[in-house]
Formats: sequence, C-alpha cells, structure tokens
Amino acid sequence: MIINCLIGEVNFQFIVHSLKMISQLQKYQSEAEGDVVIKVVFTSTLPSLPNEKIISSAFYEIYQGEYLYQKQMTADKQTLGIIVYHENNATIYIDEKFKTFASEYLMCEYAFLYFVFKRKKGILIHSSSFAYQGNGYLLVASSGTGKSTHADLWRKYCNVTTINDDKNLILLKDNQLLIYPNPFSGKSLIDNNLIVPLKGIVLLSRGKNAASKVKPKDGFIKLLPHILNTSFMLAKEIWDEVTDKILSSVNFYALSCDISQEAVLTLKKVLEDDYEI
Amino acid sequence: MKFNTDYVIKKVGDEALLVRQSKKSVDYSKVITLNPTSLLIVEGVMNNLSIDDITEKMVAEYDVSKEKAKQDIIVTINQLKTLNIVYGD
Repeated sequence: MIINCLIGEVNFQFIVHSLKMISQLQKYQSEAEGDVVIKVVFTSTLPSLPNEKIISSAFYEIYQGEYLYQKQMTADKQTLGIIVYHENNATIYIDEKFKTFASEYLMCEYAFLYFVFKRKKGILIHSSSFAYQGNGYLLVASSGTGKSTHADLWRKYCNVTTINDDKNLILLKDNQLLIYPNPFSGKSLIDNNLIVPLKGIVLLSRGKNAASKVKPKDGFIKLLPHILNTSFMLAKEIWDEVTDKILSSVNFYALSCDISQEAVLTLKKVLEDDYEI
Repeated sequence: MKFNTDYVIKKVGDEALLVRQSKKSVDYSKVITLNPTSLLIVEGVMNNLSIDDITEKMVAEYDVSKEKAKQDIIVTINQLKTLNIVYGD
C-alpha cells in the first residue's frame, strides 16, 4: 500500500505491506505527495554490496558505493535485509524469511531517520514523552526502569497526551526545540500526532517518591547514553548545535518513583514550581 | 601542542563537558567534566596558545601567582595528554 505522511516536517511516501505498519503511518497521513519515497520489498535475492565498508556496529554495517548501503543483522547475525539509500528515496530489501511487521517497522525507522536528519536539525532521544499544559516533557531511563509505566500513570491521573512512548524526535526550529511526533514508538505503538516545545527532561529511577531539579551539566551526562548516536545519519555539527540548545534551554529533573499516583503528584509539583514567578 | 578534534566542548555556565565523537559514534564513556580553570586551559590549547600565554590569562583572571599557575597548567596539560585530548609538544 502507498501512503503519504508528513513526519518531522518531511513529506514521505511509504510503500509498505503489513497492516500494523499501515495503521501506524495512518496517524501521520497527509494530502501532499511525499518527496521522499521509502519502499519496502520482500525478496529472496538481496542486492549485492559494494566492497567499501565504512562503519560496522553490533546490528548493522554501512557500505559506500555508488549509493549508501545499510546491511541489517539479526541478534544471531543473520542478514535481515539491506537498505539502499539514494538522494530522495530508499529501497528496503528484506529477506523473505523475515517477512514480519517487526522487520518492516525496524527497517522503515532507520530509513525515516536517515532522511529526517539529512533535511532537519535534530536528534532522537530514547524516552517516553508527554504534553502537559502545552509543554513537552521526556521521561528518560534505561530500558526496563519504568518510563512507559510512569507515562501511563500520567495519562491515567492527569489526562496528558503521549507524543511518543519510546523514541522522541527533537528538532531545532526557529531557535526553539520541539518534540515532533513519529510513528516509531517501540513495542507499545503509542504515539500521537502532536508537536510541543521541549520544556523538561526527567531522569527517572525506581525508589521512594522524590523529585528535584538537577544542574544541566549533571542531567546532560545522564541523558547522553539515551541520545541516538548513529553517526552515518548524524552530522557532528548538528548534534553539537542541538545538544548545546538542550543544555541552555531545557530543565533537567531527577525523579525517583514507584508506580503510585503519588509518584505523578511528586513530579507534577516540581514541574509546576517552574511556572511560578 | 594540539587539541584532539575528536572531542567537542559543551559549555554549561562557567563549566564545560568534553564529549568524544569518534567516526562511528558519540562515545558516552568518554565524557570529561571541566571546571572553570581546566576550561580556560583547554580553550587556550584549542586557540593554539603557548603555556606562557595560558599562564598570563590564568593570572589575569584568578588570584594566583605566575609560578603556581604555570605549575598547575603543566599538570593539567599532562593529564589531558594522558587522556589523548591534547597531543604533541
């Protein structure tokens, strides 16, 4: 199915197959025909790769030939597929034996990010986010700590809207940082098409309920491992500019919490204190 | 004496962080906090100043004797060389 979407201020045209993928993309559907085309092809014959390998990481290898190639591996080092990046389009070849929603979702996410970062000033932060009183907040913690659980409590007790439950796209626009929604929201698939200014970053840990504001320098050190660091997509200068803006304009908070309503109220009080003059 | 351009400097108030950006990715294990005096030294090296030039800047900004300042700067630069943030003579 062909579906046009506006995501991160880029008009995409996705050619995808699984119903779940289509359903995720439909939240971002637009009238405008996409000028970046991302096409998924399931095949038994993957394209051959050029000789020059420029980057090697745990799950992918990047090759430079006439075009840029990304070979994606599974956890047990089988080739899941290959993305061929052109100027304004990418073709994603996925091995037929991995013909699943998960494969299509993962590979489309890489291609999507590649083009967003090529065209916009931004970074991706592994986090759950919510919009509260017109401002956006990121909940940041290592996987399994309870970001999504805490975000769920905010939805339950404060009726907030989650922008993305897993990966938040932060773009610098008109000297302001904004959280832009995107359909790649991890396992939960919770994301909503809402753009809000990035006001605060909450560093979450498990424990007795307590919240406080932290110095940007200390907060940033803890935030760093949660910023996507896929260098073949990100220009150093842009990473530097966007993170400098985070350091100068975003509030950092530390939240130790359990899974009660009190946990939400504890953070809410500290966030609201920042509105007072 | 040269500054290793794999590192980017991120200023926060009068302090700073040095973050290593390798060809492959940002190396989160290599984040170094700089206090105001270390920042002055690193910026001096980045601007190709000599140890004597940096000493003069330090003396102008802080209540410290020239000898003590120079001694501290040499110690800091040697630490930065050990971490491969500064290299060469």
